Amino acid sequence: MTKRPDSPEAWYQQHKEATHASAADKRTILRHAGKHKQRPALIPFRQWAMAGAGGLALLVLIGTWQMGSLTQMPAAGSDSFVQVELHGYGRGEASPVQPFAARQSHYLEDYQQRTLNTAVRYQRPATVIEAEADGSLVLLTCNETMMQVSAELMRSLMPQQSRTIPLSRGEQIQLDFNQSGFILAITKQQPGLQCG
Amino acid sequence: MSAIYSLRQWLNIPADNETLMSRYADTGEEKLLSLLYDRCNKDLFHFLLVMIDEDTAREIAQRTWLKVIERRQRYQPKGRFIAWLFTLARHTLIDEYRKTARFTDEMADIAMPDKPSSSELANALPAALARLPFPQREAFCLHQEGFGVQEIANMCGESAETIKSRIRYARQQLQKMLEKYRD
Repeated sequence: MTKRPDSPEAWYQQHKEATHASAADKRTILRHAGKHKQRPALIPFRQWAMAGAGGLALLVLIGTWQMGSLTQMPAAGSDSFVQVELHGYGRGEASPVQPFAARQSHYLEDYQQRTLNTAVRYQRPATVIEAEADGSLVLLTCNETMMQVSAELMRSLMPQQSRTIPLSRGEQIQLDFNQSGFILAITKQQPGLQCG
Repeated sequence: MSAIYSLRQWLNIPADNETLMSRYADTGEEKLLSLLYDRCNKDLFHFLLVMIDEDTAREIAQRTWLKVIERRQRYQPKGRFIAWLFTLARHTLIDEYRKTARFTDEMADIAMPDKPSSSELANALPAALARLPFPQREAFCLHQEGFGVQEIANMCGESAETIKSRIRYARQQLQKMLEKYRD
Protein backbone atom coordinates (compact mmCIF):
# COMPACT_ATOMS: atom_id res chain seq x y z
CA MET A 1 0.00 0.00 0.00
CA THR A 2 1.49 3.31 -1.07
CA LYS A 3 1.48 5.98 1.59
CA ARG A 4 -0.31 9.17 0.67
CA PRO A 5 2.28 11.97 0.25
CA ASP A 6 1.96 14.86 2.67
CA SER A 7 4.20 17.33 0.82
CA PRO A 8 5.09 18.16 -2.78
CA GLU A 9 8.61 16.86 -2.10
CA ALA A 10 7.29 13.50 -0.88
CA TRP A 11 4.91 13.42 -3.84
CA TYR A 12 7.81 13.94 -6.20
CA GLN A 13 9.99 11.27 -4.56
CA GLN A 14 7.12 8.77 -4.53
CA HIS A 15 6.67 9.27 -8.25
CA LYS A 16 10.40 8.85 -8.79
CA GLU A 17 10.51 5.57 -6.89
CA ALA A 18 7.81 4.20 -9.17
CA THR A 19 9.77 5.17 -12.30
CA HIS A 20 11.98 2.66 -14.10
CA ALA A 21 14.12 3.39 -17.10
CA SER A 22 14.28 0.84 -19.87
CA ALA A 23 17.31 -1.47 -19.96
CA ALA A 24 17.08 -1.49 -23.76
CA ASP A 25 17.89 2.22 -23.76
CA LYS A 26 21.17 1.54 -22.01
CA ARG A 27 22.12 -1.12 -24.54
CA THR A 28 21.44 1.31 -27.38
CA ILE A 29 23.64 3.94 -25.76
CA LEU A 30 26.50 1.52 -25.12
CA ARG A 31 26.32 0.21 -28.68
CA HIS A 32 26.69 3.76 -29.91
CA ALA A 33 29.58 4.35 -27.50
CA GLY A 34 31.30 1.24 -28.89
CA LYS A 35 31.11 2.65 -32.42
CA HIS A 36 32.56 5.93 -31.21
CA LYS A 37 35.44 4.22 -29.48
CA GLN A 38 36.57 2.76 -32.80
CA ARG A 39 37.69 6.17 -33.94
CA PRO A 40 39.23 7.83 -30.91
CA ALA A 41 41.11 11.06 -31.18
CA LEU A 42 44.86 10.51 -31.37
CA ILE A 43 45.38 13.14 -28.75
CA PRO A 44 42.51 13.97 -26.37
CA PHE A 45 40.83 17.34 -26.74
CA ARG A 46 42.29 18.68 -23.48
CA GLN A 47 45.81 17.88 -24.60
CA TRP A 48 45.10 19.63 -27.91
CA ALA A 49 43.80 22.64 -26.01
CA MET A 50 46.88 22.71 -23.78
CA ALA A 51 49.23 22.35 -26.74
CA GLY A 52 47.36 25.12 -28.54
CA ALA A 53 47.59 27.42 -25.52
CA GLY A 54 51.31 26.67 -25.20
CA GLY A 55 51.88 27.41 -28.87
CA LEU A 56 49.94 30.65 -28.61
CA ALA A 57 51.93 31.71 -25.55
CA LEU A 58 55.15 31.00 -27.44
CA LEU A 59 53.96 33.05 -30.42
CA VAL A 60 53.03 35.95 -28.12
CA LEU A 61 56.45 35.70 -26.45
CA ILE A 62 58.26 35.74 -29.80
CA GLY A 63 55.99 38.56 -31.01
CA THR A 64 56.72 40.63 -27.90
CA TRP A 65 60.45 40.04 -28.28
CA GLN A 66 60.33 41.03 -31.96
CA MET A 67 58.28 44.12 -31.15
CA GLY A 68 60.90 45.06 -28.58
CA SER A 69 63.64 44.72 -31.20
CA LEU A 70 61.66 46.77 -33.67
CA THR A 71 60.83 49.56 -31.26
CA GLN A 72 64.52 49.91 -30.39
CA MET A 73 65.32 50.53 -34.06
CA PRO A 74 64.27 53.92 -35.45
CA ALA A 75 62.37 53.88 -38.73
CA ALA A 76 64.43 53.96 -41.91
CA GLY A 77 64.15 57.22 -43.80
CA SER A 78 63.58 59.23 -40.66
CA ASP A 79 65.35 62.61 -40.79
CA SER A 80 66.83 62.24 -37.35
CA PHE A 81 68.27 58.81 -38.05
CA VAL A 82 72.04 58.63 -38.34
CA GLN A 83 73.63 55.22 -38.68
CA VAL A 84 77.17 55.00 -37.41
CA GLU A 85 79.27 51.95 -38.13
CA LEU A 86 82.33 51.32 -36.05
CA HIS A 87 85.16 49.49 -37.76
CA GLY A 88 88.11 48.42 -35.70
CA TYR A 89 89.49 45.52 -33.69
CA GLY A 90 87.77 44.08 -30.62
CA ARG A 91 87.19 41.01 -28.43
CA GLY A 92 83.82 39.37 -28.89
CA GLU A 93 80.72 41.43 -28.26
CA ALA A 94 81.13 44.96 -27.03
CA SER A 95 78.74 46.08 -24.33
CA PRO A 96 76.59 49.05 -25.34
CA VAL A 97 77.12 50.53 -21.88
CA GLN A 98 80.90 50.67 -22.34
CA PRO A 99 82.44 54.04 -23.23
CA PHE A 100 82.92 54.61 -26.93
CA ALA A 101 86.73 54.35 -26.70
CA ALA A 102 86.47 51.07 -24.80
CA ARG A 103 84.16 49.64 -27.42
CA GLN A 104 86.60 50.63 -30.14
CA SER A 105 89.42 48.56 -28.66
CA HIS A 106 87.00 45.71 -27.87
CA TYR A 107 86.64 44.77 -31.51
CA LEU A 108 90.37 44.60 -32.24
CA GLU A 109 91.24 40.91 -31.94
CA ASP A 110 87.93 39.58 -33.18
CA TYR A 111 87.98 41.74 -36.27
CA GLN A 112 91.46 40.61 -37.28
CA GLN A 113 90.52 36.94 -36.93
CA ARG A 114 87.42 37.29 -39.04
CA THR A 115 89.09 39.17 -41.88
CA LEU A 116 91.93 36.66 -42.37
CA ASN A 117 90.23 34.15 -44.67
CA THR A 118 87.61 36.25 -46.33
CA ALA A 119 87.23 37.52 -49.84
CA VAL A 120 85.97 40.83 -51.11
CA ARG A 121 82.23 40.54 -51.71
CA TYR A 122 81.27 44.13 -52.46
CA GLN A 123 82.67 47.61 -52.80
CA ARG A 124 81.30 50.92 -51.69
CA PRO A 125 82.51 54.49 -52.33
CA ALA A 126 82.83 56.87 -49.40
CA THR A 127 84.04 60.37 -48.59
CA VAL A 128 86.54 61.13 -45.86
CA ILE A 129 84.96 63.65 -43.54
CA GLU A 130 87.54 63.49 -40.76
CA ALA A 131 91.13 62.23 -40.88
CA GLU A 132 92.56 62.19 -37.39
CA ALA A 133 96.25 62.64 -36.60
CA ASP A 134 96.49 59.10 -35.21
CA GLY A 135 95.37 57.70 -38.56
CA SER A 136 91.73 56.94 -37.73
CA LEU A 137 89.08 58.01 -40.23
CA VAL A 138 85.49 59.11 -40.21
CA LEU A 139 83.80 58.28 -43.50
CA LEU A 140 80.43 58.95 -45.06
CA THR A 141 79.05 56.40 -47.49
CA CYS A 142 76.55 56.97 -50.29
CA ASN A 143 73.66 55.80 -48.17
CA GLU A 144 74.52 58.41 -45.53
CA THR A 145 76.07 55.89 -43.19
CA MET A 146 78.81 57.33 -41.05
CA MET A 147 81.72 54.99 -40.49
CA GLN A 148 84.52 55.31 -38.00
CA VAL A 149 87.64 53.31 -38.86
CA SER A 150 90.09 52.90 -36.02
CA ALA A 151 93.77 53.75 -36.29
CA GLU A 152 94.72 50.13 -35.57
CA LEU A 153 92.60 48.89 -38.43
CA MET A 154 94.03 51.51 -40.74
CA ARG A 155 97.55 50.39 -39.85
CA SER A 156 96.73 46.75 -40.50
CA LEU A 157 95.15 47.61 -43.84
CA MET A 158 98.19 49.61 -44.98
CA PRO A 159 100.21 46.74 -46.52
CA GLN A 160 97.25 45.88 -48.70
CA GLN A 161 96.90 49.37 -50.05
CA SER A 162 98.47 50.88 -53.10
CA ARG A 163 98.41 54.39 -51.69
CA THR A 164 99.96 56.24 -48.85
CA ILE A 165 98.01 57.48 -45.90
CA PRO A 166 97.02 59.68 -44.18
CA LEU A 167 94.06 60.54 -46.29
CA SER A 168 92.81 64.08 -46.30
CA ARG A 169 89.36 65.45 -45.58
CA GLY A 170 86.98 65.40 -48.57
CA GLU A 171 88.91 62.69 -50.40
CA GLN A 172 86.89 60.03 -52.23
CA ILE A 173 87.83 56.48 -51.40
CA GLN A 174 86.65 52.96 -52.08
CA LEU A 175 85.90 50.42 -49.36
CA ASP A 176 86.16 46.69 -49.97
CA PHE A 177 83.92 44.61 -47.70
CA ASN A 178 83.69 40.92 -47.03
CA GLN A 179 80.37 39.03 -46.73
CA SER A 180 80.04 39.94 -43.06
CA GLY A 181 80.46 43.65 -43.70
CA PHE A 182 84.03 43.90 -42.41
CA ILE A 183 86.41 46.24 -44.26
CA LEU A 184 89.14 44.34 -46.08
CA ALA A 185 90.79 47.24 -47.87
CA ILE A 186 90.62 50.99 -48.34
CA THR A 187 91.83 52.32 -51.68
CA LYS A 188 91.51 55.43 -53.74
CA GLN A 189 88.25 55.56 -55.60
CA GLN A 190 88.17 53.63 -58.87
CA PRO A 191 86.68 55.32 -61.95
CA GLY A 192 83.03 54.45 -62.43
CA LEU A 193 82.30 53.77 -58.77
CA GLN A 194 80.20 56.78 -57.83
CA CYS A 195 77.32 57.41 -55.51
CA GLY A 196 74.07 56.80 -57.37
CA MET B 1 42.99 12.44 -13.00
CA SER B 2 44.02 9.06 -14.42
CA ALA B 3 46.41 8.51 -11.52
CA ILE B 4 43.65 9.29 -8.99
CA TYR B 5 41.34 6.89 -10.79
CA SER B 6 43.97 4.13 -10.76
CA LEU B 7 44.72 4.71 -7.07
CA ARG B 8 41.03 4.60 -6.20
CA GLN B 9 40.65 1.39 -8.20
CA TRP B 10 43.64 -0.14 -6.44
CA LEU B 11 42.25 0.86 -3.03
CA ASN B 12 38.81 -0.35 -4.11
CA ILE B 13 37.29 3.09 -3.50
CA PRO B 14 34.47 3.90 -5.93
CA ALA B 15 35.45 6.83 -8.12
CA ASP B 16 33.17 9.87 -8.20
CA ASN B 17 31.26 10.78 -11.34
CA GLU B 18 33.67 13.54 -12.27
CA THR B 19 36.67 11.18 -12.16
CA LEU B 20 34.77 8.58 -14.16
CA MET B 21 33.78 11.11 -16.79
CA SER B 22 37.32 12.52 -17.06
CA ARG B 23 38.64 9.00 -17.46
CA TYR B 24 35.95 8.23 -20.02
CA ALA B 25 36.81 11.44 -21.90
CA ASP B 26 40.42 10.27 -22.15
CA THR B 27 39.90 6.59 -22.93
CA GLY B 28 36.37 6.12 -24.28
CA GLU B 29 36.05 2.94 -22.19
CA GLU B 30 32.47 1.68 -22.33
CA LYS B 31 32.46 0.31 -18.80
CA LEU B 32 33.03 3.84 -17.47
CA LEU B 33 30.09 5.15 -19.45
CA SER B 34 28.04 2.21 -18.24
CA LEU B 35 28.83 3.12 -14.62
CA LEU B 36 27.90 6.75 -15.20
CA TYR B 37 24.67 5.67 -16.88
CA ASP B 38 23.73 3.44 -13.96
CA ARG B 39 24.39 6.21 -11.48
CA CYS B 40 22.75 9.11 -13.27
CA ASN B 41 20.17 7.91 -15.76
CA LYS B 42 17.34 7.37 -13.29
CA ASP B 43 17.55 10.99 -12.10
CA LEU B 44 17.82 12.23 -15.66
CA PHE B 45 14.97 10.16 -17.00
CA HIS B 46 12.70 11.04 -14.09
CA PHE B 47 13.38 14.74 -14.50
CA LEU B 48 12.49 14.49 -18.18
CA LEU B 49 9.45 12.37 -17.43
CA VAL B 50 7.92 15.04 -15.19
CA MET B 51 8.71 17.69 -17.78
CA ILE B 52 7.37 16.04 -20.91
CA ASP B 53 5.51 12.92 -22.09
CA GLU B 54 7.10 9.51 -21.60
CA ASP B 55 8.10 8.77 -25.21
CA THR B 56 9.73 12.15 -25.68
CA ALA B 57 11.41 11.88 -22.25
CA ARG B 58 12.96 8.55 -23.29
CA GLU B 59 14.10 10.00 -26.62
CA ILE B 60 15.61 13.10 -24.99
CA ALA B 61 17.40 10.99 -22.39
CA GLN B 62 18.95 8.94 -25.20
CA ARG B 63 19.92 12.01 -27.15
CA THR B 64 21.51 13.48 -24.02
CA TRP B 65 23.68 10.40 -23.49
CA LEU B 66 24.65 10.46 -27.16
CA LYS B 67 25.81 14.03 -26.62
CA VAL B 68 27.89 12.87 -23.66
CA ILE B 69 29.54 10.31 -25.94
CA GLU B 70 30.08 12.70 -28.81
CA ARG B 71 31.24 15.64 -26.69
CA ARG B 72 33.24 13.69 -24.15
CA GLN B 73 36.49 15.39 -25.11
CA ARG B 74 34.96 18.79 -24.40
CA TYR B 75 34.10 17.83 -20.83
CA GLN B 76 35.65 20.16 -18.26
CA PRO B 77 35.67 18.74 -14.72
CA LYS B 78 34.88 22.13 -13.18
CA GLY B 79 31.54 21.36 -11.60
CA ARG B 80 29.51 18.22 -10.94
CA PHE B 81 29.15 15.82 -13.84
CA ILE B 82 25.42 15.51 -13.19
CA ALA B 83 25.01 19.27 -13.60
CA TRP B 84 26.69 19.06 -17.03
CA LEU B 85 24.49 16.09 -17.93
CA PHE B 86 21.30 17.91 -16.90
CA THR B 87 22.42 21.04 -18.74
CA LEU B 88 22.78 18.99 -21.93
CA ALA B 89 19.37 17.46 -21.28
CA ARG B 90 17.78 20.81 -20.56
CA HIS B 91 19.05 22.29 -23.84
CA THR B 92 17.69 19.28 -25.73
CA LEU B 93 14.40 19.58 -23.89
CA ILE B 94 14.04 23.28 -24.68
CA ASP B 95 14.86 22.60 -28.34
CA GLU B 96 12.12 19.97 -28.34
CA TYR B 97 9.66 22.37 -26.72
CA ARG B 98 10.47 25.03 -29.31
CA LYS B 99 10.13 22.58 -32.18
CA THR B 100 6.74 21.39 -31.06
CA ALA B 101 5.57 24.69 -29.51
CA ARG B 102 4.87 22.98 -26.21
CA PHE B 103 5.46 26.18 -24.28
CA THR B 104 1.73 26.75 -24.68
CA ASP B 105 1.31 24.38 -21.75
CA GLU B 106 -0.73 21.84 -23.64
CA MET B 107 0.02 19.38 -20.85
CA ALA B 108 -2.03 21.54 -18.51
CA ASP B 109 -5.07 20.11 -20.23
CA ILE B 110 -4.30 16.65 -18.89
CA ALA B 111 -7.08 15.81 -16.51
CA MET B 112 -6.35 14.74 -12.97
CA PRO B 113 -8.57 12.10 -11.35
CA ASP B 114 -11.28 13.48 -9.05
CA LYS B 115 -10.65 11.18 -6.13
CA PRO B 116 -7.37 9.41 -6.86
CA SER B 117 -6.11 6.48 -4.83
CA SER B 118 -2.63 6.76 -3.28
CA SER B 119 -0.97 5.07 -6.24
CA GLU B 120 -3.01 7.10 -8.73
CA LEU B 121 -1.99 10.25 -6.91
CA ALA B 122 1.70 9.40 -7.29
CA ASN B 123 1.15 8.87 -11.00
CA ALA B 124 -0.77 12.13 -11.27
CA LEU B 125 2.30 14.21 -10.44
CA PRO B 126 3.24 14.96 -14.09
CA ALA B 127 -0.28 16.27 -14.68
CA ALA B 128 -0.08 18.44 -11.55
CA LEU B 129 3.30 19.77 -12.60
CA ALA B 130 2.02 20.43 -16.11
CA ARG B 131 -0.35 23.02 -14.59
CA LEU B 132 2.65 25.05 -13.52
CA PRO B 133 4.45 27.48 -15.85
CA PHE B 134 7.54 25.86 -17.41
CA PRO B 135 10.14 27.92 -15.46
CA GLN B 136 8.51 27.07 -12.10
CA ARG B 137 8.14 23.42 -12.99
CA GLU B 138 11.73 23.23 -14.14
CA ALA B 139 13.13 24.94 -11.03
CA PHE B 140 11.08 22.79 -8.66
CA CYS B 141 12.02 19.52 -10.40
CA LEU B 142 15.71 20.34 -10.59
CA HIS B 143 15.63 21.22 -6.90
CA GLN B 144 14.00 17.88 -6.16
CA GLU B 145 16.69 16.13 -8.19
CA GLY B 146 19.24 17.42 -5.72
CA PHE B 147 20.53 20.58 -7.35
CA GLY B 148 21.24 23.61 -5.20
CA VAL B 149 19.65 26.97 -5.93
CA GLN B 150 22.90 28.37 -7.29
CA GLU B 151 23.46 25.33 -9.50
CA ILE B 152 19.97 25.71 -10.95
CA ALA B 153 20.59 29.43 -11.45
CA ASN B 154 23.75 28.61 -13.39
CA MET B 155 21.98 26.00 -15.49
CA CYS B 156 19.05 28.29 -16.31
CA GLY B 157 21.04 31.50 -16.64
CA GLU B 158 18.95 33.22 -13.95
CA SER B 159 19.70 34.77 -10.58
CA ALA B 160 19.54 32.67 -7.43
CA GLU B 161 16.72 34.90 -6.12
CA THR B 162 14.62 34.25 -9.21
CA ILE B 163 15.12 30.51 -8.83
CA LYS B 164 14.18 30.65 -5.15
CA SER B 165 10.93 32.47 -6.03
CA ARG B 166 10.10 29.95 -8.74
CA ILE B 167 10.65 27.03 -6.39
CA ARG B 168 8.51 28.70 -3.70
CA TYR B 169 5.59 29.41 -6.08
CA ALA B 170 5.77 25.92 -7.58
CA ARG B 171 5.74 24.37 -4.11
CA GLN B 172 2.75 26.47 -3.03
CA GLN B 173 0.77 25.46 -6.10
CA LEU B 174 1.59 21.78 -5.73
CA GLN B 175 0.72 21.90 -2.03
CA LYS B 176 -2.72 23.29 -2.92
CA MET B 177 -3.29 20.54 -5.48
CA LEU B 178 -2.14 17.90 -3.06
CA GLU B 179 -4.46 19.14 -0.28
CA LYS B 180 -7.37 19.02 -2.68
CA TYR B 181 -6.90 15.25 -2.96
CA ARG B 182 -6.37 14.55 0.72
CA ASP B 183 -8.91 12.55 2.58
